Amino acid sequence: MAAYEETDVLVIGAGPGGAGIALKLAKQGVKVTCLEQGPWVKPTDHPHYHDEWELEKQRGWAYDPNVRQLPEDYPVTGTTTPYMMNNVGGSTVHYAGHWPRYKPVDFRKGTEHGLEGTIDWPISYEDLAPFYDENDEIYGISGRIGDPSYPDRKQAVRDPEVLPGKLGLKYAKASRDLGWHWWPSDNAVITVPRENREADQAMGNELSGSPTGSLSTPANAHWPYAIRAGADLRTNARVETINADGGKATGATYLDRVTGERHEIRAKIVVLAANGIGSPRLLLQSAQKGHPDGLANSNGIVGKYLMHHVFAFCDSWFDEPIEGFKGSFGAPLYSHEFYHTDVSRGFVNGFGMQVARSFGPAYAAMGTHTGYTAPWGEKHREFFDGHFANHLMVFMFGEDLPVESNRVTLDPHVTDSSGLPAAHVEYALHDNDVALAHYGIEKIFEATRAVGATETNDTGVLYPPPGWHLMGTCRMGNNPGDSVLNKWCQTWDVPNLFVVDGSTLTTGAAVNPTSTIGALSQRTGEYILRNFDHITAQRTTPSNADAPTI
Amino acid sequence: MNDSQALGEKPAPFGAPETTATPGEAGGFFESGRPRLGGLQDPVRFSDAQAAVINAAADTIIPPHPDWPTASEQDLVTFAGRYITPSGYRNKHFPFATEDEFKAGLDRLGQGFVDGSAADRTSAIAALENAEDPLFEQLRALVYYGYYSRPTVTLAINRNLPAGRDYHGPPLPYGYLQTTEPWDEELLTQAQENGSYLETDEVVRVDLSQLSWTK
Repeated sequence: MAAYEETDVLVIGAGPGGAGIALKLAKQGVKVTCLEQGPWVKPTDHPHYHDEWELEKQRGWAYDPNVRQLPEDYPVTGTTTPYMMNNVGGSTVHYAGHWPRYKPVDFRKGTEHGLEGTIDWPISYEDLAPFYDENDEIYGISGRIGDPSYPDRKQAVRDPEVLPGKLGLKYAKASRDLGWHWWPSDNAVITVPRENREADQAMGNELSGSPTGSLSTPANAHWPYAIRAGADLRTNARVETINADGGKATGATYLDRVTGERHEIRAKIVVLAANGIGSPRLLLQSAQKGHPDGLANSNGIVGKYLMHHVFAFCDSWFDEPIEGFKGSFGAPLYSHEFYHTDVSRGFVNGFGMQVARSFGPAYAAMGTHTGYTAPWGEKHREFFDGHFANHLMVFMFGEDLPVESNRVTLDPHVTDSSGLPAAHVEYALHDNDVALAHYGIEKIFEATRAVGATETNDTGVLYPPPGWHLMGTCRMGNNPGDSVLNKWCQTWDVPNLFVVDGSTLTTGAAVNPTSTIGALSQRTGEYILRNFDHITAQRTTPSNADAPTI
Repeated sequence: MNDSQALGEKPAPFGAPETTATPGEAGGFFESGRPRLGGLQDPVRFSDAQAAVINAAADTIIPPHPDWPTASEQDLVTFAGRYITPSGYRNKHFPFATEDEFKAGLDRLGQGFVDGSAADRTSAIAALENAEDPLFEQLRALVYYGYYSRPTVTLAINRNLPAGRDYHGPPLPYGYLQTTEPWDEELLTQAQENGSYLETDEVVRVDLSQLSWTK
């Protein structure tokens, strides 16, 4: 009996990148195996039915694996707060579900300014647009078609948008009165029931997931159907090395975290989808004969150009109820008034203003999003009574430049529970990002003060930024000199090794990345499906011009 | 003091920890699993004297008010017992309070704190705060999270605060679908008036000489 198993396509990571490809291929009869180092998250794992739901957000539902420290997590050292989860569905299991797309200009930032490591994407918005639509339909997206700040997307399928509540209506009116762009957000939150999923109940707290399935994640939108179609999803399977021989990937060696046993699985094609920190970590720890600096890293670019977005949290309080505890945490609306580069402001790129919800009374007492903690003692009651649910928070998040020295490496001194090296992150804000963020904070408060905010507080430019978005570390590009991947997400060094996750993104835009990761996953899946034999026969990775098409 | 305790000294604003944890070596404390929802099934037990200190601290942090439930009557003693780390276990979860050190801190405050006037107790808590004693932030977090999670306090919020009239505690099973305002069609129509984008072939080089940060 062979000491290894065989499959057609091995997918590493069961989040948006891996799940999208697994579903597409499995439905067409391709033999797919997926290795996921975490477990399924069960409905009863979520805190939404518990009185202590707010405290639990700081414990098993902490965003940062260094704080949460679950068995499936791995350490990430350095200047970072990496907000990732390691389980079926990946980090979407605790995301807000904000679902904006990139705009056409976002694929051409090299042309627009080319600062630091900025390059044009090897594809355009038009190339990706049909896959955005395809991906959206799989997840289940609520929103409203017609945003004038985007190209027409009449083919996109949408549930009715989530309810705005007093909070959403307040900021919408502020934007309107200032003559600014605003639009109801697209959210990965269903407002119409689907198979085994309840519709949104305006519950909030999606940042601790959704036990009812209202939050669209690969755990409910992809995997049940991929498994039904024959995909083999192996949980608690922690990949140790991606193996290669003769210039081709041959599969992976993984550890069963439950039994401790080591297994080898061989595959004709390997798709790495372990997020913008996990994927470069795995490529770097897969250094082997012929690949001394890590797999797919002969040009030394793996792990470089890490982007997080530049963030500031901006709290405003009013002398009237705002009721931020109501409503889906998926944003009720956003403003892209300052999205595009206007160099007269003194910086390139732009930012989005994303209106967020609040949580409950403990959140108000503990300082909301900006550390504005309620005083204890005599002044507590007056402060709490005047602040709870009179609060509106807006995320300022802008596009950060891809900087070569912002990178993921391996930590030689720290390991995970399997003895594998921890990821190490170096990340510094660029002056352009800081200038952009200061401008953004000012604009947000201009809006809230215009509609009656009586008190404001902000975090300033957050450093390190909240690492919800892990991007750019195995980026797509135009040639082996500027990137890790070609335009079909094939690694330049190893033609049958693909990377599809946040690390794939060439630039970060000023929007949440998951819808774009999903669209790239659909596009890459289509490429693999249509060119399977061609890809497995390739000895070298084709240039963007020479690659087969779909 | 280990690294996870260091985090607990400064409870993070939501989503934005003030510091990054330094993970343990060789797997270390990554291995004991997801903490139980609701905290410990078998809470840490406190002596009567220690329980009295917790209650006195609770009434100092959130002073009694005629319109609100009194903090010391909300069984925050059991709440604290469910969420501190039992002796002998690795201290890895918020509020990062170990049984031994937490109890030692309560004992230091002692009966004198319980018997003191409101002003004396305020001074004692202020002294902890000023000394950056971890016990201060642990007590404040346990009192705030505990008090504002109690159903009786939720009812008081409904009764006392116009903005909290509909708040019902845990997000589920009820949600807020019935009490959340829908979009205004006129407002949505107006939203179509602002916003534009560049087509792919309209993107051109910008004038980089205007950037303020390069000067």
